[in-house]
Amino acid sequence: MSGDLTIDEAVTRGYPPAVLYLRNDEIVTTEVCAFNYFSIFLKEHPEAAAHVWLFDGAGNQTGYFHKDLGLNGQLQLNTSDLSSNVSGTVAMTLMPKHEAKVRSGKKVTTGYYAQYYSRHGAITLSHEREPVAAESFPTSAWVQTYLARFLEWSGVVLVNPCLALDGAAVGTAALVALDGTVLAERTLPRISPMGACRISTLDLFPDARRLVGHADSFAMEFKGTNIASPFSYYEFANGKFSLHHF
Amino acid sequence: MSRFPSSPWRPYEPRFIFPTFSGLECRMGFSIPAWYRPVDIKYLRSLVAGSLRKNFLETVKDLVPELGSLAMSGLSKNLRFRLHILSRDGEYRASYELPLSYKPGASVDVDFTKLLKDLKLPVEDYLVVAVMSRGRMDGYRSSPASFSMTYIDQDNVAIYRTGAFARPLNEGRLKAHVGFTGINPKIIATRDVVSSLMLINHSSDPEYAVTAHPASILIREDGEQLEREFGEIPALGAREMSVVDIFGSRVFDFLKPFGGRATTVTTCQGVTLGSLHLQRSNDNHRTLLGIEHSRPAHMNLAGILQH
Repeated sequence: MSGDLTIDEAVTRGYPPAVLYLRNDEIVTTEVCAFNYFSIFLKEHPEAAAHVWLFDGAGNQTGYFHKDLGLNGQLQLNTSDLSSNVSGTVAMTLMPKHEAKVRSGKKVTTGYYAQYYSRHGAITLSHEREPVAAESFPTSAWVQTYLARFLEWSGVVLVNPCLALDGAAVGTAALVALDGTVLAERTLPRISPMGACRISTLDLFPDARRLVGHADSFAMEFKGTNIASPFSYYEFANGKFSLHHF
Repeated sequence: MSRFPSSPWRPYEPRFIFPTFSGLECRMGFSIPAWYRPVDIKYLRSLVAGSLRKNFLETVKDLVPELGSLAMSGLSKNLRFRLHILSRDGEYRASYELPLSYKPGASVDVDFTKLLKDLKLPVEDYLVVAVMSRGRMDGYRSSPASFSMTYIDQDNVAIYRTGAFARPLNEGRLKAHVGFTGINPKIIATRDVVSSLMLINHSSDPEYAVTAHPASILIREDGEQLEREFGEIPALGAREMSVVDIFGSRVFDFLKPFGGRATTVTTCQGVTLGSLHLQRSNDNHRTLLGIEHSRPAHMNLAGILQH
């Protein structure tokens, strides 16, 4: 396809795509939406192009899409049309059509949203997260609270936004009580560059129910290398899926 | 006359303003990262450098109370939290201080359904300002992690997470804003789902008194537009409007050729606003399906020269 852009080239040109979780299967469908805000903030040069790359959980590219966006243009993309059975990552960049000069040492990031549609009319949504990184980066601890009564339905999605060939995501997870006591700790499965991993709380910590006890809430902490802001999720027996970034 | 009975926050205390919804279980969570320290050399250097860009008096005004408070606490790493509850019109209702202090690694979890009942407040929609005793003492002037708001509506769990900030906001003496541009490309108006926008007229000034008058444009994929007033938002208040409330029921036919999808661009001159996007079921219950805060799109272009 003419006009195809590789993700490496987007990073090199100073427009690293921002990464989100991608899931298309019999339960969940992911739609990506963005508005050409260049047409508001760079009125002399309103034209832009949206480039979208899809990756599976192992970080293999499974799809690519691009669309020219004119004045007040927008993207409403059902990613299941491009990759129908996947749990991985989506990366998107908006690039101006004219040659905008990027400040030395700076990059131009992209703002967009993903909406996750699941059964019984459920919708959950997230703004973009970290831009693709060309080199490995350390991850300080990400920690968030979960509702204990939904523990059996809860879990985490971990995304690796590092593009480097040797940039696997590695790290540890901890189950933490509200008072800060670490109840359990373990090593995370390795995640390939641009890959993702969705793990239930009980797969991470099979003894979590006993360890959390009668508390209303608990927390989980994730840290290591090349781990973007994690996503907490609840996936109920009826197929309703709720996800949000830490 | 002040809307608050006493000073609700100090300028250096990070604040997070969020809605509660009557009929929903509303919970606020906040986990303090184990690495959190109120001050270290890097933070202090950033704080001093940032403050020195202002005049000397402003620097003293900024730094002395914060460092004094830190010294008085014995350089404690623990955080305390206060909650100020306002009506959606920005009128003061009650305050509550969490009885415990929280060390790095610990989490706060507040059930607002229970708290509002304990405070004997009527079952209504509210706005809450969560104030933490201190945050990151660097240029970000933020909380060291995101607050987590969880809303449970029947068997739907909707969550959004964002930080608290101690930066000047809609406070004329310290920070005047050109205006607000909120871009929401995730609008849906179908038989099953209707999107809402909630705009919050927030400020770092407890005495803030400016009413906001935003306007919204609904843009579909072929560029056709509808334009309407959003409606006024009182100071320290919030207003939720569905796209049907703003543009009328013709919005369904207008967006039908495009799968019910569209973008809104909402603008307001002279003030900046907090912006939430809600997805609700299109039935009598208006179940809250999903919620997310909007991010300022222009920040993405900071790397481009001369924009």
